[in-house]
Amino acid sequence: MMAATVEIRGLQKRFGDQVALHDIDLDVGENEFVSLLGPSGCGKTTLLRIVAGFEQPTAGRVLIHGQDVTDMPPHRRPTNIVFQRGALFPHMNVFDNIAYSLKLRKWSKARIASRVEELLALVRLEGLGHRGATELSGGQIQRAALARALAPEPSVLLLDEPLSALDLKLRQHMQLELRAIQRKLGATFLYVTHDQTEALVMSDRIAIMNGGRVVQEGTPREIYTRPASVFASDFIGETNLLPGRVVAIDRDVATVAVGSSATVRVRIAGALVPGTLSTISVRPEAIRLTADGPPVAGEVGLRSRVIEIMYLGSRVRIETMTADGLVVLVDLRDEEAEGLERDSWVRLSWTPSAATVWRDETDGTVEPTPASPE
Amino acid sequence: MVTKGEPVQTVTGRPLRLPSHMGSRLFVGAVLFFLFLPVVVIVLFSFTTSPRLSLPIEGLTLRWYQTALANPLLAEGLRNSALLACTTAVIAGTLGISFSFGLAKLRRRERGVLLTLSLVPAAVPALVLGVALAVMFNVFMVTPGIRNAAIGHVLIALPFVILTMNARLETFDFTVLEAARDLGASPLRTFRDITLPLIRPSVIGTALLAMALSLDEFVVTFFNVGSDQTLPVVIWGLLRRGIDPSINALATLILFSLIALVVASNRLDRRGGRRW
Repeated sequence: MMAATVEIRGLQKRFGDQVALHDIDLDVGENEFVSLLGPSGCGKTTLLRIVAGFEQPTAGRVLIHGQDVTDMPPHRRPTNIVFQRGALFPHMNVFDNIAYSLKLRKWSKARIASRVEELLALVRLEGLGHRGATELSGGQIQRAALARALAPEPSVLLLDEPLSALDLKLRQHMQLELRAIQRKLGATFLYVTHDQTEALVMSDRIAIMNGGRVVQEGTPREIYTRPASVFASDFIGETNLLPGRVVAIDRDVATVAVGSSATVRVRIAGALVPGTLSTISVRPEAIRLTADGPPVAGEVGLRSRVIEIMYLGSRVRIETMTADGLVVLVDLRDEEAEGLERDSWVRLSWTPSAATVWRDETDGTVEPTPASPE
Repeated sequence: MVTKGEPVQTVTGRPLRLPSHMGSRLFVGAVLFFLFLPVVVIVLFSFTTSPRLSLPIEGLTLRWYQTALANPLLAEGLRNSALLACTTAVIAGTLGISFSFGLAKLRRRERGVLLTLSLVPAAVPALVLGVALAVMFNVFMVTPGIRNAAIGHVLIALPFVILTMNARLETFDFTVLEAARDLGASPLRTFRDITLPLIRPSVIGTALLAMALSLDEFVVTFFNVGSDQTLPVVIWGLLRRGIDPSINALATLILFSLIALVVASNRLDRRGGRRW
C-alpha cells in the first residue's frame, strides 16, 4: 500500500475507568473504502469521532496525509462526517446546507453556486436546492448530508451508519450508489456500520471491531472465508460453531473429534496441539449433505438427523441434530434438497479448507461469544 | 317490535342531556366571566368620567391618563421598572440559557438532580424570599435600592428561564452543532449561524417571561427596593390614598404594553425564522 491517507497509531480511549478503545492501529489508503464493522458498543463510533476531532484519545496519534491532527479541533481538520440521521441544519434549505462549508471558506457566490449544482447532480437531488431541510424524505436527507460533507473535498469522508435509519430496499439501493460515488470521486471513505452485509457489499477493506479492539482486518472475501476468530466467523454471515477436541494435526489441517464418535477435518487458524479443546466454524452453505450409508473406515463426517426443512426461496435450510444433540444448519439449493425427509439420517461433510478451527477462547484476542448456534 | 329501543331510552335520555349541556355552557361562561371581569372593569373605568367606580357610565374621558402620567413618582417608577425588566431579562436569560446548555450535556440522572435543585427557589414563597434577601443584604451591609431588587428579580425569574429553556433543549438535535464544527465553523461561528437561529424563539420567549415576572413583582421588590420606586410600588402607594381612577389608567397602560410586546416579538420571530 502507498502512504496511507489516514494513519491511526496506538490509539486508546478511556471514559473514566471504562476502556472504549485498546491500542488501535489502522491505515486507510488513498481512494480506499474502509469499513469499521462491529456490534454496538465495540468502539467503532468512538474511533470515528476521534478521527473527526470530537473526542480526544487518551493515548495515540491520528495522522492525515502524514500530518498529525490529534490536537486539532474538528473545524480545522480535513475530514467531514455524514451523520446517522443527516443532521442537516433545519433552518436552511438544501442549497444553503451544502454551501455552508464553502461560505465559511469565503468562496465567491458564483463558484459556490456551480459547486452546489455539481454536488446536487452527483447525489441526484437536482432541482431540490430550494427545498427546506425539514421537507425531505429519509433518503433525500442522507443524500443532502452526503453532498454537504463532500462539498469542501475532505481528505477523508467519515460516515457514521448513514443508512441505518432507512428501510431495507432504500438502504440496499443507497449502498450501491454510495459505492459508485466513492469510485467516481476517487474519495477516501471511512465507514462505520454494524451491518455485515453492508460492509461486505461496499468495502475495499473491513476492520472488524470487538470490545474496543480491531480483531481482524482484510478484504470482504478474506474476512468471510478466512475468519480469524470465532467472533469474526460468527459476526460475519451465518455459521455453525461446533465444540471439539483436536486429535491430530497434519500441516494446516487438523483432525478434530466432535461429539462421541465423529471426526472432521478442518483448516487451522492459530497455533494448536493435539488434545486442545477447540471450536470449529463451518458455514451452512459449505456443508455437503449425503444420504447416510454404513460407516466407512477412516471416513470423515458427522452423522446427523434432519429435524426441520425450511424453504427460504433461493435456498432451503436444513436443520439437523447429531446423536450428541449438536444442532447443525445446512443450506442447500432447492433441487439438492429434493427427496429429503424429516427424521431421516444424513451424513454432513465439507472440504477441510471450508471450515476453520480455533483453540477455545482463552488466548485473549477473542471475546467470548455463545459457542453454539441455536 | 324491536325498533332500536327508541321509546324509553330517548324519552329519558333527551331531556336529561340538554340541560346538562346547557349547564356546562353556563359553567364555562361563568369561569370566563370570573377570569376576565377584573380586567374588563379596570380597562372600562380607566375611560369613564366619574371618579367613583359606579354604573351607569356617565361619559368617557382620557383625564385619568393625563393625571397618571403627570405624577412625578410615576415617571421614576416607570423608568425603574423598565430598567429592572431589561436587567432581569438579560441576566436571568444569559445565566439560565447557559445553565440549560450545560445541563443538556450531562447524563440523565445528573441532569434531573440539577434541574430539580435549580427549580426549588420557584416554590419558595415570595414573602420568604423577600425577607431572606432583605436580611442577607443587611448582614452584608448593602443598602436597599433598585440593585437589590434586581438581584431579587433575577432570583425569581431564573428557575422559569431554566425550565423553559430546558424543555426546548430536550428536543434540540446537538449533532447539527457538531456538523457545523465539522464543516469548518469555529465554536463562535457555530453559535451565531446555527445555535442562535435555532433557539431564537425560546430565547425571546424566556426574555419576555423574565420581563413579565419582573414587571409586576411586588413583594420581594418592596422589601429590598428601599426608597426607590417601581411601578407596582408606586401603585401600591397610590392605593393607600384610596382608589384613584388614574390607577386604572396605569394598569391599562401596563396591560396593553405587555400585549403589544408579546405580539411584536411573535411577529419579529416569525420573520427572523424565515430569513434563511
